[in-house]
Amino acid sequence: MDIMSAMNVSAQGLTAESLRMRTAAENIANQNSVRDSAGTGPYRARQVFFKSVLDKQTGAMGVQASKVAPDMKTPLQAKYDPGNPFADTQGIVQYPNVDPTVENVNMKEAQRAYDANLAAIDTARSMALRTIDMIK
Amino acid sequence: MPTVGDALKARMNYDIARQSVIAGNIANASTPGYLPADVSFKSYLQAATSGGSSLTQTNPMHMGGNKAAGGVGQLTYDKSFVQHNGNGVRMDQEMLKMQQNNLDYATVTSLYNSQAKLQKIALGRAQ
Repeated sequence: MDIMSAMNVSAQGLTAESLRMRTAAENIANQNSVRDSAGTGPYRARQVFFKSVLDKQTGAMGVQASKVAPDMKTPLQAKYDPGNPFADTQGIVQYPNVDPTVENVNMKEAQRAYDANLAAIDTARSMALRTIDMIK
Repeated sequence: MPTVGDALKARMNYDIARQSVIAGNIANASTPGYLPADVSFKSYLQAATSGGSSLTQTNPMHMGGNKAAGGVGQLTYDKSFVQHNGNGVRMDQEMLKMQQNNLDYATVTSLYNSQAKLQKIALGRAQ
């Protein structure tokens, strides 16, 4: 287990957290998209699922965003808008189930976790530099 | 007989292994069901000196002790701080441990440098 494996673990953390940040940004950007990219229904909020992964060679416990899945449980928001071309026969338009509060909290959390991983990389770096200084 | 160099080497290996484990805890701060681990110096020394797999396995993903790696370590968490998703990482504690570990490493490396200076004096190459 060398110092590079510590940096690798932190780098995995950075990747996972930035994916979470991207997903939150996508959700906020699409909170009014009444059709998703497939054109079949309204956009559904996406959720990122994290999984810890063991690096068998070094024994270090890393992290991975194992999947990004749409939220099918939270109900869609129905709005009465008969003039909308996507309205049903009763004039109801289904809007995405994106909750801006949840997304903002997710973004803040991802940001904090990103900072923490950066601090871990910084520490590992200073340890590596001290090791190199021992040669002098 | 173990020399000062051996002792310093064991401590440096431990500090580096601990940095990896703490980095893993921080990286998994948002993983549901993840419980933080730590390496105790005692268990690390035992694994390093005997090469045995004496480390506690508290997670099915943990391997038995690995001579080179020193293993993943034991889980250390406070039940009252486990979140509703089963994650037990306390970011403040992890940052504190990381700083402490960094300081320890700085201490050991400067001790090593002083010891190297002593050897230079013995060789008559002191400046």
